[in-house]
Amino acid sequence: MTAAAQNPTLRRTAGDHTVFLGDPIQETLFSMVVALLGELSIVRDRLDAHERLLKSAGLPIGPQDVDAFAIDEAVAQQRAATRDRMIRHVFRALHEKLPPAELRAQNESYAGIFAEVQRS
Amino acid sequence: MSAVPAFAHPMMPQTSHDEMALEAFLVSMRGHVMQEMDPIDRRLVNDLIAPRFAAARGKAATTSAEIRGELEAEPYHQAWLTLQRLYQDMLWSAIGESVDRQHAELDQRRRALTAPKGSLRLDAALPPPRYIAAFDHHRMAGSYHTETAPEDFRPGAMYDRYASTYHYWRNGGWMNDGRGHTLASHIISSYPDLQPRRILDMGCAVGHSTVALKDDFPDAEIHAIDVAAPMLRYAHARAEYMGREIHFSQQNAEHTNFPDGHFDLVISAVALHETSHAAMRNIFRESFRLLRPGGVMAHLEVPGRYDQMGLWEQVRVDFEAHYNNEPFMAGVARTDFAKVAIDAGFQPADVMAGFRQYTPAMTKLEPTLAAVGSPDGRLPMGSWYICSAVRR
Repeated sequence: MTAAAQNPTLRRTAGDHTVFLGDPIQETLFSMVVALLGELSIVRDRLDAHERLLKSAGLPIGPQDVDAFAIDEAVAQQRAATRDRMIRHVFRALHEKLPPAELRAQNESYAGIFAEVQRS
Repeated sequence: MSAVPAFAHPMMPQTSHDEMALEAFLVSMRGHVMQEMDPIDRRLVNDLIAPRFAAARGKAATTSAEIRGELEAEPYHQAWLTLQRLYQDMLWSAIGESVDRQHAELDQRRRALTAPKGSLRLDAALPPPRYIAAFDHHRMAGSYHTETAPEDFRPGAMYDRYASTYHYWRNGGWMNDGRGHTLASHIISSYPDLQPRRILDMGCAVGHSTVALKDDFPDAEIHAIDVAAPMLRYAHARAEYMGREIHFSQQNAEHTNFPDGHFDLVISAVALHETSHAAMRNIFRESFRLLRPGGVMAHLEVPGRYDQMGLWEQVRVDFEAHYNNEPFMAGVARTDFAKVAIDAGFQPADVMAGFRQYTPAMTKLEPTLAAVGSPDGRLPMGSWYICSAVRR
């Protein structure tokens, strides 16, 4: 039995594994950030359940109350809005840094104005 | 997004609070990419890359293949690709964990079925074709056929949950039966005199469309085939718990063991793009063989057609083919379905191919298919592509 077969974490999806982001470390970092955001999103939803349970019961609550906490459509929509805002916050850097200059509203180069103010 | 769901059916894996939170995150993230990044990526292709190409080569790029190298050198597009793929990988991982948590309970429930209305006939000697076995479809680890426990059904359980979430619950919510009803709408609209008594669903997976057909043609005997045993075990249990009589068997749609002319109606729903160029031709030929005179074949597929797609839309489909382990997706978008049907034995005048509006319930519509898909082109729920034919 090969090492890969022995250790399940070494098995991966059969098929494509192109590195998109230049190098594997960059790609790993990017992927880990998105995964981290997913974990944070779970925590936010649990906090949301705690807050609503506390409000309605006025009593100390435990994890089992959150596990059993069922949400209705209205709560789902509020959570979706909060989630969208969180994603916008974390993805802000991507939108800021990655689109090419030609697609942006403002094209003025900082180098230009920098050089200009140096000239008296 | 709907609230935490009640059981869609007793075989369906449920989510814990946190599992639903993670799935909801992934749906939101994908929504963010579609709404905020797709338009910029499209401008990158159409406003920057395409003009640059035309200026350098003196002619316009007409295929995504011509611009792929330049496009994939752009950091913005690299990030877009990474997020598309991350969504898939993270979703499968999340659903896999959820299914594993409740595997024993689901297995018990499946084994508790003792007096089925329908049937399940497996064939351990049937090998999965290369286009199923050689890679993991849409990045689902183990694809459709891998078993990790005795009499496994895990791929079926995973697929049932994934399919609903992937479509934002807009293909009929947790039932995922919208495509099946769309096929039924097409049949009653284009072939109103057909009273199908025996129907075959080719490549049925977990029976999403099969159940829809049973509901829309309740007097018909419904058969459903797939090459993968774990999918069929789950499909059978799912149908039984839903009280729908369906006869599942493990067969390859390219070559089944049903006799000539055995069916009034033969369908498939988004199965063809997971096969191959050669397999699709065989499936159409087999469909012809299986139909009695006057019987109808109807194959439904994803709506992208290369001749109607702009450069960016082609890039979107290319992602599926190159990076989402759906290699035939780009091929099927270029295939002349009507020609394949004619080559399979149907008369040209008896073949139609075009777009049918998505219907969540069986609806009488116009008899002809539309030549153009949803005007937005990108919305997967706007319309589906159908090729159908009557056997004389």
